Amino acid sequence: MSEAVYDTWNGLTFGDNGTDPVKYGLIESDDLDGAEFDGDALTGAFDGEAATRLWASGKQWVERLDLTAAPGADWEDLLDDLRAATARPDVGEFVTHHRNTSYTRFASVVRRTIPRDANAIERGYGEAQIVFASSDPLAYGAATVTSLDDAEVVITSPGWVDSERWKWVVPGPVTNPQISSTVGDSAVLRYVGSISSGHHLVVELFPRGQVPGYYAKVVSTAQLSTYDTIGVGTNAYGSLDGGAAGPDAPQWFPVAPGAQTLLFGCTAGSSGCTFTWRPGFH
Amino acid sequence: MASVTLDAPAIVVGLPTAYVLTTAGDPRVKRNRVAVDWGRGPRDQLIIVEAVTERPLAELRSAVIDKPTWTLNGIGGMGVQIPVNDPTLLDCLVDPATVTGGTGELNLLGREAQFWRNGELRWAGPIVAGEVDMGKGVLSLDCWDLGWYLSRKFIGAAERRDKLNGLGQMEEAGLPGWTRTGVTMTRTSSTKARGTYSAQMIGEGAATASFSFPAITSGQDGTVLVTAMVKLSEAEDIANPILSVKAVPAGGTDTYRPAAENWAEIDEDTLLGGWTRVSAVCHLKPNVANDVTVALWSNSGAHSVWFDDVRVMRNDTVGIPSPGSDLTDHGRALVNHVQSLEKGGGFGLAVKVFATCGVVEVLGVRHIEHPQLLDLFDTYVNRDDGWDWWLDPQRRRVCFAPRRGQDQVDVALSDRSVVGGGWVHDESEVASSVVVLGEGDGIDRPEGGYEDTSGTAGLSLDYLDRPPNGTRLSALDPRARSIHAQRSQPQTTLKPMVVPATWWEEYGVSPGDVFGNHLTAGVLRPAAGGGFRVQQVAHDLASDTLELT
Repeated sequence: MSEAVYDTWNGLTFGDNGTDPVKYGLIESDDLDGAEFDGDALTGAFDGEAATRLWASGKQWVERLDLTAAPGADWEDLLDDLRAATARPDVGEFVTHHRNTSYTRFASVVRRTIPRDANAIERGYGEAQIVFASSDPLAYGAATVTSLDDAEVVITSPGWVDSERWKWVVPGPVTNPQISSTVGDSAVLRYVGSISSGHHLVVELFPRGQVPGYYAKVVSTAQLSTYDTIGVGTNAYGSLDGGAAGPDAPQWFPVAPGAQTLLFGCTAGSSGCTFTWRPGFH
Repeated sequence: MASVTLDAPAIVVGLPTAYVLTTAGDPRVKRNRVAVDWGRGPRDQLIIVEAVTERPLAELRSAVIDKPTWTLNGIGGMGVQIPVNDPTLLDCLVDPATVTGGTGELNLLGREAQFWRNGELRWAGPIVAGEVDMGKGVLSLDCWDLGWYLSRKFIGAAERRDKLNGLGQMEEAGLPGWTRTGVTMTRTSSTKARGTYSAQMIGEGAATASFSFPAITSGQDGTVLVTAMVKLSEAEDIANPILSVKAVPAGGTDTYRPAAENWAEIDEDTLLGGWTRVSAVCHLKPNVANDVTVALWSNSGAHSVWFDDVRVMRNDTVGIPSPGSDLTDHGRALVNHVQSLEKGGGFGLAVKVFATCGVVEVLGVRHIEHPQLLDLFDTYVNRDDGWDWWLDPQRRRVCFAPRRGQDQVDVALSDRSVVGGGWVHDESEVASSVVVLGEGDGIDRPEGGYEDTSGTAGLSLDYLDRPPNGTRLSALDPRARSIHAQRSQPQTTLKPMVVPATWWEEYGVSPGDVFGNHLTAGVLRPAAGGGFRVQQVAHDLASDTLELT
């Protein structure tokens, strides 16, 4: 296996032995160094803002791969790894690299072309193609957990664009918990009712168009790790609104790039809450 | 793309196609068809709620919404597409009792879709149909606005209301409610006309049932009809009574307006030995309560007579009696009537009359005709002095006003303000010479005519008209002039105007609005100004525009 990569891209030569190479990988697959997918092969209009507005059609992009491995490497095992990494039937997380920073994309694999022939093994070289589809054009940073009590908390997102990937967990006992953000005038989400001890309110938001669109449940402590399972917990959506002065519908809000203030409140019995979010990039 | 490792072979050759195998072909992937809400655009939400109570059940953030539409004097619609693998569907549009293994059956009625923008409820209505496309992995829903409920109501229950409350069906043991005088009356299943049992009577006398009827006003129809299925013995005699009904005003003892029609008797045409229907009629005295008595007669102790399906009905009319009320009150009364408990309860729709028409009339709708509510609405919409109606989803109410909408006098529809639209200017049917044929086909046939080529640069373009039979001779020339007046003008057909969605807030654009003579495109404008009234507004979310029709 090689330890370093000479990378020529758009006429520029990056990296050298002993220096940090610039990689444009999409999927990380252990032990298959050549399968670092080339980021500039993105063809799905992922550069800049989405070409279409809200609730339009989804996006597709194609990754073409040059696969190389050391002579004598077990190609079948490596290719099996690649197949396993791209065999997710539903939306999965794929790690991409840009300038040595890891990002996560949420996509599903539409189609794969992975070499099986013996010649590729003998040559130590092959070509593969992975077709991805996603309704979310963003790449995301690592998840950050922020704890809130009744005080305001300023969070600073390193992202470049708004992110709608966050999770709000409020342990009981608590009455009328509410979280709001300075990201917008009506960025308020309130649960009207009481959460008893030993239970939690879990609200997880996904970008519009993602499946599921959100989770809003009241679950027991034992169910907290499986709240995203169908049938687990009680549907809490009907008790969500936009705050005392807001609309009847919950007013979802994004995590914006830069600094913003989150405020947690309730009318009784607070043990605080946690707000977990991913910064958004494109 | 370039990624070459140090350990790669010195010579890298392109692989022949044969060496690259497609391992998975084109799998059917249930991918979403939607993109994220990018940036800080409008905050749109599709929320599914319980019908009537509007209790939120779920929000479908994966949905693609197709043109919520608001229609004047009609029902607007909205299409929705959702990935079939959205688990939120289980929370709102699936019958919970059918969920097994993570799947369940759709259950649409009893749910309503609400479209919100920026915290404002803009559109609401029931979801009435769904189509599952397994190839695309998409569920398509048809939604209609709240007016759809009104389209599913008519005036009058089936067979109208039986004033005997089912006593005459003869189904209850002991046949309660019937007073026997000189006869025995027993329930039997050996012969019947409807249901499981009939009443078998024998003896000389009658079985009677009575009820009190509240006072009606002088303008109402006081007719009470009793109808019954009867099976008579072949030994019955002509003129024997079968059935009778009488109304006695409260506090009195005498039958009101006794007449032969109060009785049904055996005559030469009466079927004997089989089931036949007979009926009798009485009239209620107005302005006072009436006691109505129905009598079933048996004329001999030697043979039986059977009765079944005895019902008493009024020629029910719903309405507003003299001196009547404003036409907008008619709309209010009709909506309230179809939502009354006796009509099975309502849809939670309130009524708002914004202004009256100034025309007072009585209203009478006969139950027996079962007119559809929206057909009745159309009779008012089509009147020059009638009203418009529309739905207000925010307050869940049906609104009435002599004319909805505002005159958009300050808004110009020009090629610089609209996104799309236009008109078709058609002169292909223009005529400058009109001939109207009279009756007959001989050389003596009279003909009317009119010619004015000033609008066609001197060109004589003919039009031949064949008037209806019986058109008077003196009418031929005026008819020719009238037709010329119409056909000498070009036909202008306006296309839907597409305007930015911000006009909703900026100008309050809604169905019923009138755009007067402000339609221009560069140096052009439509013939006769091109003013038009908006009949329908459709919101295209993909382009964030309003389509005005």
